[in-house]
Amino acid sequence: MHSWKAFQDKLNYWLVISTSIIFASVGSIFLYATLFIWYKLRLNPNWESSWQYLDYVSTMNIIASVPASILVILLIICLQRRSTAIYTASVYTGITLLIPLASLIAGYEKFAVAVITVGASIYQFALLIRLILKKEVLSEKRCKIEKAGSLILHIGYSLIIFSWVPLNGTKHEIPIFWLATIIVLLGTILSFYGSTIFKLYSQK
Amino acid sequence: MISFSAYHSYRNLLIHLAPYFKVISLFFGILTLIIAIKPPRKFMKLSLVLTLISFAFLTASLILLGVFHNIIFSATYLSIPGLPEPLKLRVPLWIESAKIFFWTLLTVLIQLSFIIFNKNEEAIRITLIATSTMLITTGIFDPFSNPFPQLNQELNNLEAAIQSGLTPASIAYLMNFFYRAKYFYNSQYMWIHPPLLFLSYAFFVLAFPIQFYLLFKKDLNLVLENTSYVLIRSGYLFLTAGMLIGYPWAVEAWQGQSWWWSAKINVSITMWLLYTAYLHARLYIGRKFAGRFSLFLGIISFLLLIFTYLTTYLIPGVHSYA
Repeated sequence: MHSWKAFQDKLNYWLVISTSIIFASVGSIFLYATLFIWYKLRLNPNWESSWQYLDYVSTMNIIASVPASILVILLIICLQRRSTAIYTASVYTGITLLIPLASLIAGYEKFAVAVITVGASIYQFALLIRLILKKEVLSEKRCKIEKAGSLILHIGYSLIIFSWVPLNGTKHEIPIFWLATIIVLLGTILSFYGSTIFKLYSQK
Repeated sequence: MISFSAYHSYRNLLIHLAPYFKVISLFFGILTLIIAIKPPRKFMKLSLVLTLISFAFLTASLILLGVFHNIIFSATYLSIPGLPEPLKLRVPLWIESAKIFFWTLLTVLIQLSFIIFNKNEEAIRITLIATSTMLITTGIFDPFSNPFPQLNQELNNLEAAIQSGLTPASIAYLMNFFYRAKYFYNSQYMWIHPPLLFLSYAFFVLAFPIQFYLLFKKDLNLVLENTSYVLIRSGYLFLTAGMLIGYPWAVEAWQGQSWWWSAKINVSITMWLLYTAYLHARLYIGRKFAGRFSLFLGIISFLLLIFTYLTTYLIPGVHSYA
């Protein structure tokens, strides 16, 4: 029992560190893109008006999608570890990952992104309900409000990606983006200041 | 009609005040650095008084700039056939030559709050190094020596276009300027996106020296580390808000342009991602590797912040002066 808990703790630790490393990797891709643009513009100040720029944009979209996808998959794996209902969580995780994979193979990239982001949002919302119903949700955060905040902000980010990819260019993109922004900021405030809010509320 | 005489007169007044601003800002910056490095006996009281006076000085300078902006607002009125509405320029206080100044003002404000509420002498000494650096930098790159050079050029071009009469070329320039004013200077997002970002930068600049100091310490001082974390998480909240609010502005203002992979956007996203990586690694601050790794990420994130700021001047693009 003790060794299983120690294993889980170690796994959670390395999942979080892996997440940090992947964030840094995605960041390095964007940094490379910045330096690449700088180099190209020094060679040709009109480079952004050329067809090569459009080629660069589509190449970067493909390159960035790989670690971005890994991040979302990691989010779903981390979410799966939040729930104590291990069987249900595992089944849901499997479905949320398999359907997008099949869609990607079939060439429906936007649908794949839609499934994975909506799936992640629903899962996190379900965990939020569990938390409100006073059931256990495993988290690095101690305070319940901070746990809720963490779930809420990740719902927000999932919806942001949903607005950017499947809804890109549609009339729903910006309204969903604004909704997601409010959710992200609310979640961030609760996640960061949850214990302070709780202390102030308790003092009343 | 545009009346430029008041604009030019006040601009020249600001240019005349520039040497005084430089000397005072440099003086406060150097004095702050001295008391941070060699704290005197009544350090806490002295740091409070000095920061308060610096804040008062920067606020007075802000008022002078505010008057300048009001003059631009009052002086520029365009009602030209073909324009959908009259033009009035509402120039914000955080563009071009005023950017470093605005950042410094916010840094000093947060430093002041820090001294009043924190009371940790070591943390205050270290953050004062950042504040002094900002004061010295704003003394060197002051907002008065050449107030808003790009805007000034645009207003001079505007004046020339009007004086040349309603020729096709001047009308084309006026229409172009109208839409530039609508989507840039006068945009409601201009009054939300940059101030939030500069506020985040102010928090980050105060956190940086603490993290840099801790990186070279054998044992991680958790009190100091927590102080840097508190500063970074506040900065992160404003950074996230500012960056997200920039998106609908970009969609509106840069319709039809491939702005997403422009240099400034890329490097800002890199900075945000690195700060996000820091916040995740910091969840396990008690473990040796995560502690050092999070410090390293925090420092790299700040260096990227500096590069993000400089990108506007170094790399051309839709989000750039270069």
